[in-house]
Amino acid sequence: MEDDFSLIRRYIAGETACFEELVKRHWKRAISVAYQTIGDYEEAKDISQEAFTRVLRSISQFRFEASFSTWLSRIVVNLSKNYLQRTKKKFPLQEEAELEERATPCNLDDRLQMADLKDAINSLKEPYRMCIILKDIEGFSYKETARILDCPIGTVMSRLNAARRILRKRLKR
Amino acid sequence: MSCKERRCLGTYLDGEISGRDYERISAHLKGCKTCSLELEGLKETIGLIKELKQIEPKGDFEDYLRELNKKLNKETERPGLIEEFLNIFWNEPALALGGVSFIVWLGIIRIIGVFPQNLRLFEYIAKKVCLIL
Ligand SMILES: [Zn+2]
Repeated sequence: MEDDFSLIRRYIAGETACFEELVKRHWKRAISVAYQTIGDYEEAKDISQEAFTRVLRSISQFRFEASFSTWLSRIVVNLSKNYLQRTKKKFPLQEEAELEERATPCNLDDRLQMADLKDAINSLKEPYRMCIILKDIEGFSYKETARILDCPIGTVMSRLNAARRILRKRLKR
Repeated sequence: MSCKERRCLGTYLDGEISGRDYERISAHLKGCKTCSLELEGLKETIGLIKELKQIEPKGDFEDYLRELNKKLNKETERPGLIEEFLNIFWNEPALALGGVSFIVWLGIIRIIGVFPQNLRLFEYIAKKVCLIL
């Protein structure tokens, strides 16, 4: 499969259809990252689309260093943070009935544990929560997470360690 | 009481620790019951967090793309020059007023500064034209 960089190069050279292919590759993740951060599906979809329009506006400035996916996610995360600030919304990662995405365990105990886990993640302070979302839920690497959050990799490590230990303590109770 | 190794057990589990530190922690884990218990618990917790994976979108890609294109088209319909100018006035009245007075000031300077020369040049051309005639 052709990589993202060459799609971007072709887009810049005038093949506008390449952008559609980029969107097709990354729309799911863009919605997911926004959703995990703000907890509202419709808003998350809006944010992801806004992120794509911003990407398109500044695509000529793309530096071909980090991946397209980190670039996009960084915009998505910043838009999501702005949304949370603007609306003073507190508890994302709520259960949305229509979203059958998650592994829903049949066992009641497991289900309660998952609910506890979500509560615990919600109660984390934003910088810690973002590390859990990006690294553990969305599966970005340490390096990618650091780029998305615009902080040193060491910061990601220590926040992630702290956050996971908090979650572990909460679940142990 | 608490070992310093405990702080980086998560990074250890992710395999993101450099060779020498990795060995040091591995050695410590063999001798420290508390830390190895913590490691097990952490492994379980991380496993659980990872079950909250990426969500699947509700609609299909075609719908998503259609909406996105609508947004993009709206964006390319740029407001007219006058509309944009009025927008600036509305959003940044101080800036716009400053800009306008600057332009007016520039105009005045230009007329006063250049006009005498222009007048002389005009006179010169008029004389030449008269001579030719
Ligand atoms: Zn220990």
